[in-house]
Amino acid sequence: MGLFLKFVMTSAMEKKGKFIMLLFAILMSATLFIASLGVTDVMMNNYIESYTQVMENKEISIKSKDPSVGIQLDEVNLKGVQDIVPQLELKGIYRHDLDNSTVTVLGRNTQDIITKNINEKRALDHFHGATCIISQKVSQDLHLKVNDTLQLNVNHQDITVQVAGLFLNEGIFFGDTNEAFQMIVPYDFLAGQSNMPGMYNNIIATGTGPSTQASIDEFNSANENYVARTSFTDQQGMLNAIKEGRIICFALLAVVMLLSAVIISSSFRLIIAERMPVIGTFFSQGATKPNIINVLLLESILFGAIGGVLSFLAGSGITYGAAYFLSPHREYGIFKWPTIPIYYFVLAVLFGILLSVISSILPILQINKLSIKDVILGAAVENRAGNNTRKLLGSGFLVISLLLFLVQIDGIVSIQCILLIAGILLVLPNLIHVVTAKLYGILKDKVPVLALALNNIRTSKELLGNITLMLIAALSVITITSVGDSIRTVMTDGFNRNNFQIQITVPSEAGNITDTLMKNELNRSDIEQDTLQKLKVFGGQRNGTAFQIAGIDKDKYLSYDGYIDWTKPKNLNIYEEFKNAKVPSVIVSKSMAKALGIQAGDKLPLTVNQTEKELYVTGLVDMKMLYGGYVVLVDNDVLQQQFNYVGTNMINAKATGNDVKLRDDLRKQLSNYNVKVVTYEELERANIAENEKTIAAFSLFSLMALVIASFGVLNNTKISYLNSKKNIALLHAIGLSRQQKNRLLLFQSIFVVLWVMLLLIPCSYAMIFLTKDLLSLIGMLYDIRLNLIYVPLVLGFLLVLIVLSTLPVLLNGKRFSIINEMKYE
Amino acid sequence: MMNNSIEIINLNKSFYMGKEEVQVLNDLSFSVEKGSFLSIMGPSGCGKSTLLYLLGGLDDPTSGQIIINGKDIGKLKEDEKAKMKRRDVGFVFQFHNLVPNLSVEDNILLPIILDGRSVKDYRIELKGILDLIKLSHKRTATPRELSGGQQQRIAVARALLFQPEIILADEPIGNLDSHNGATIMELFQSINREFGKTIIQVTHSEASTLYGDSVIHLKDGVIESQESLRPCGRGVITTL
Ligand SMILES: Nc1ncnc2c1ncn2[C@@H]1O[C@H](COP(=O)(O)OP(=O)(O)OP(=O)(O)O)[C@@H](O)[C@H]1O
Ligand SMILES: [Mg+2]
Repeated sequence: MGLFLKFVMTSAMEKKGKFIMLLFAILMSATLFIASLGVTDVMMNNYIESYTQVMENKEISIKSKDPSVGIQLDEVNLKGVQDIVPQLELKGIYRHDLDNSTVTVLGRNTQDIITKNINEKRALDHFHGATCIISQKVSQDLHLKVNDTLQLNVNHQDITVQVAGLFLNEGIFFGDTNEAFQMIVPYDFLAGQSNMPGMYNNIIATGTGPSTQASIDEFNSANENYVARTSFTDQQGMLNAIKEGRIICFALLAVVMLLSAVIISSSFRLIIAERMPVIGTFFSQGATKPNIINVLLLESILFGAIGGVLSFLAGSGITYGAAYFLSPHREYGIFKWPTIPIYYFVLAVLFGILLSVISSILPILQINKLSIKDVILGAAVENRAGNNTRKLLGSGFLVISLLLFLVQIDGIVSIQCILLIAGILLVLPNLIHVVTAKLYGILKDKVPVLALALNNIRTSKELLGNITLMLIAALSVITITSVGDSIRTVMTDGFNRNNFQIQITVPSEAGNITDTLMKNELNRSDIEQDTLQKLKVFGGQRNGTAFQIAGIDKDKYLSYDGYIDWTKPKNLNIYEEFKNAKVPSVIVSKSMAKALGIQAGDKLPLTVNQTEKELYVTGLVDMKMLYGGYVVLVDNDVLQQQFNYVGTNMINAKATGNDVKLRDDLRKQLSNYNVKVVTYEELERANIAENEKTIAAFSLFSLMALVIASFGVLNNTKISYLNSKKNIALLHAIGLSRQQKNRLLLFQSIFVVLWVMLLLIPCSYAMIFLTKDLLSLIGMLYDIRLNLIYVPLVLGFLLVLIVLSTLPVLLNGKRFSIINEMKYE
Repeated sequence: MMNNSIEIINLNKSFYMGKEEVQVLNDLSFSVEKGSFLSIMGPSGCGKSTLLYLLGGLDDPTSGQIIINGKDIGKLKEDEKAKMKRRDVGFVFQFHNLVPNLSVEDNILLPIILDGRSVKDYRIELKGILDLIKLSHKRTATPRELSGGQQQRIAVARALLFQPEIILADEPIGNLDSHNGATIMELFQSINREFGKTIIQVTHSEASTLYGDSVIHLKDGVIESQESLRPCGRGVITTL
């Protein structure tokens, strides 16, 4: 047996093409797997860093129960907390050019400021009075140098500070952007300015208890006037979003894996077929079937393991690259290499082995069905019986799936789709056999070369394999791009369909000024008053399911929302009932209702601002992917009255005239308020930029699918040519001219693509339905549509690819020696 | 001159084995008259197949000329050569004669198919030849379902069907029992005699040379001797 293993290894070294292909297929899938894990880890870490760093890793924040009263340090019982940093934290606004940034002004004592290098230490020497420390990024982006002065509006009061120093974008400054950044000023200065001498309003600290919650509880039970909370608020939503992204990656990966599996499986089939004579020799020398199977399995495991190891390296490389490009402050030299957990290595190897073994197990087990005598005599060709079961099974699948499509039972669309695709793949060789045999008979008299090409497709394992491979590749690419398109549509649609031209964001810190603003400042003729309304969207959760609560102005909301189909009489009725309800009411999105088991007429307990109230559910409406799909619509007045909730408000309105002029006017007019004014177009641009990233991720997966498939196709074409060389030589000897040979090869390529074309459209539809169904199973209700434009695009690509892959052969024709080909293998 | 079907002038063929040049055919010159039946004999490895391949235009000589029906095949264009192979020369190889994914029938018809002629026109000929080689019942079989000898017979049938002027056969009955071998040889003899086709066969069997009219003995790439079996008949002219 050792001898056979030795043979296996030497043939691996000799017939490199097939083995490189095998390795490549395993490598690609496993790399995508590791990269998906690694990159999402990086994203999550970045995000976690963005709030833990800013809080200087202090997880507890202590505030006064009555926000209007400050904290007196000596009155605080520090039970449960340690390492406290008392600070005065105020929100301010910094105006520059025509834009403004939200500034979190932190009044701190010098000893509480962490410095990381000598420059930062020196900056503290000048840190007295009306001075401030900002980050390097802000300094650069907003053109603020040391000793420059800047004017801020804090609590409706203008203050001027001079830049005492620039700090690295780490710690407090980690999350700085042009829009919102942090600034440290001397405590004494800020306390004086805001008339709060000796008072603080936010103490950050670490806990002493076994858990954050335990520490918080301990502190809270010891203090009456002060309350401790976790300072890392609202992180779950974003982390969930990243995790959801990871799931989508895995779903896409599954498609790529399918492709790899096909390649691995067909490579193994070829390898085994090629080795048949040697296997025969081994049988004749007394080897048993299990012996041979074990060696082949060992080979498969070995390839999986090698692929896994390489993919760990490649995946880590991608992760490092991503970490570098995703790191927010790499331009400022702040960048930490991510740590890739060692168990990812184990995962990669396991993944490689599993993929390899699962994909190759069927061809390997075929050995069991062989008749040893036939193998020894070199007569083992195809397993006719197997082909028949295959044909029967496939036709059965097709019939059942067609019946199911006709009957159209709700909710089982996936089954018929799976049956359809599986059926097509199963009957494909037989179908091609029957059709081409017919065509060959008809054509051999008229267009001989064409007929021969057809005949070759019918009988060549590699060309048949190419059809399957291309079909699956085209399907993968079309599915991935369609899913990508749909998600993009959802993201842009949810935004694009909203009717407003100007948006004014009023942060919660600005206080309850929204209504006053709307009444006094926005009562202008260049704002369409019918459309002037406020909207607030914030997170809620119930039994572990997160959702979004959208506070709307119920009298005007319909003029704003063009995304939900409110023209549907059913939806409109629900809305009317909601609008006229006497009791506090909500409309719940269908998907959320499904997830939480809510029905129209139920009472939905809602916790906002630490208050729980039961609200009446007037109805369920399909809100598609609005705010992620799980949404509760509730009137702003209800939020105010029932929960006393203000939150961050967005005031939306249509302009009667030029929106840019309106924006500029409003920015001037509202300069005393801590608000932000933007136009629809500005938001749209930002939105598109955000979407680009998602699209890039999807493109990566489609690209991978294409690359894997291309390699597979190139390889198959090459092998098929090598295997057919002898016959081509014979045909030459009988009088096939070179042009005829070239035409033969080209026709073969074209027929392969034609077959793919024929099957691609029904399969694509099935695949899209299936993906939609599967995604909805994991709670992602995307309206995935097949974009037919991709069909000719992908086919065109495949045609070019396969013609290119035959090109070397066509060009090489001159050096083709009939005699050599016929004599030697 | 036009009486010669094949004319060979100073033919050399050598192969490179690594860096070493191996001379297989050494300055051969001879011509074969139209309608003659020549047998080439000689020890294994002496260059018989090589010579036959060169005659069939399947390989190019290192130097020298091969003139077939008055045309120097070294000067033929690629597609003219292909046409010549389809129409003027029928070839029976020592091994691997059939396209495995075509039926027996289509294998026989291949030159006709490739030439773009209607297969229907050859229905009668096909039937006749299949009867002759006693393989009518295997018409639709594929080559892998045939024995070695049966495959050889199919190859002979293919070489004959188009009725080419020249038939080149490399041990056509090497795999056959004496009875079947005799049938094939009689077939060769009859088309040689009745239709005046030129036949060149490579053989190891003295008996089969008796169906022809002259023999060349090849050794180490040169003609060692030649004999005419029918002194007054057509034959080989060697120019030394
Ligand atoms: N492509 C090649 N490369 C190198 N040497 C070759 C090649 N083809 C043939 N030869 C050599 O040329 C010589 C003649 O070969 P050829 O096949 O013509 O022999 P043959 O007379 O037909 O023998 P047999 O009776 O065994 O068929 C042999 O020594 C062979 O090794
Ligand atoms: Mg020979």
